[in-house]
Amino acid sequence: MLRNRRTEILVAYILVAPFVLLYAWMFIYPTIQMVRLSFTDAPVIGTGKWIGLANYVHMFKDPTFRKAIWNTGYFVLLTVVPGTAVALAIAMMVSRMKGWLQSLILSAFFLPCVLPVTVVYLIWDWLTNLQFGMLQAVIEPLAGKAVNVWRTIPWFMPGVAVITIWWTNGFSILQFQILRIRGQR
Amino acid sequence: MTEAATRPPAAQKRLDPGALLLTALTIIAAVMWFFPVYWALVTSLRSDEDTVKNSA
Repeated sequence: MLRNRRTEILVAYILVAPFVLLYAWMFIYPTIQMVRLSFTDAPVIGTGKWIGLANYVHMFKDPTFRKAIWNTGYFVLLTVVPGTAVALAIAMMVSRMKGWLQSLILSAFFLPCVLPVTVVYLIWDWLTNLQFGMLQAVIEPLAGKAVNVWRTIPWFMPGVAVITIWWTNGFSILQFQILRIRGQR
Repeated sequence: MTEAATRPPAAQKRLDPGALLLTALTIIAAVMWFFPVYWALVTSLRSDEDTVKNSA
């Protein structure tokens, strides 16, 4: 038990300091450097001359940039809204349970979060494989034929969205659970 | 005295069908969510040929 408020605050700062220092060094400093570089004509390695907003003017005229903005917006629409709704629904269903069953169910939903992206990709690439993928049994009745999901443009983005929701939803469910516990206090 | 002890025995045993259905749906959803991980674990112990021949 900490003796007083000042000691408590000091300990909190000491505990947070390693993360803040690493975050500032590994993320904030490179971000500032990247923004500074964007106003120069620097090559991949080395420094360059100050050219003002010329890089940004070039970027906004580039059709690839507009396409990237559109794709990002579409991906956000497919993941954020349905992902939040699914996580909320699951969190509400799980919160009705108690004891070991609740822990088991939460673990099942959270487990995909611990997988690295390469493993997630390999699992779903196999599951949706055109010739022997198990999920073709679901895709075929929907599309009327077997679909190579990762090489068919209308299927690609929704496919990535489904995987992203499956992969990351455990965190959202936990956040809803934490909010519920805080709300009860 | 606890609430369970004061309730009549019939009320203690009565099951809510809505709650049961929701629990069942949650368990089904959890099994579906976990399935790709289970499939990956099982498949990692099989040869490529075996997986291709008997994908299920």
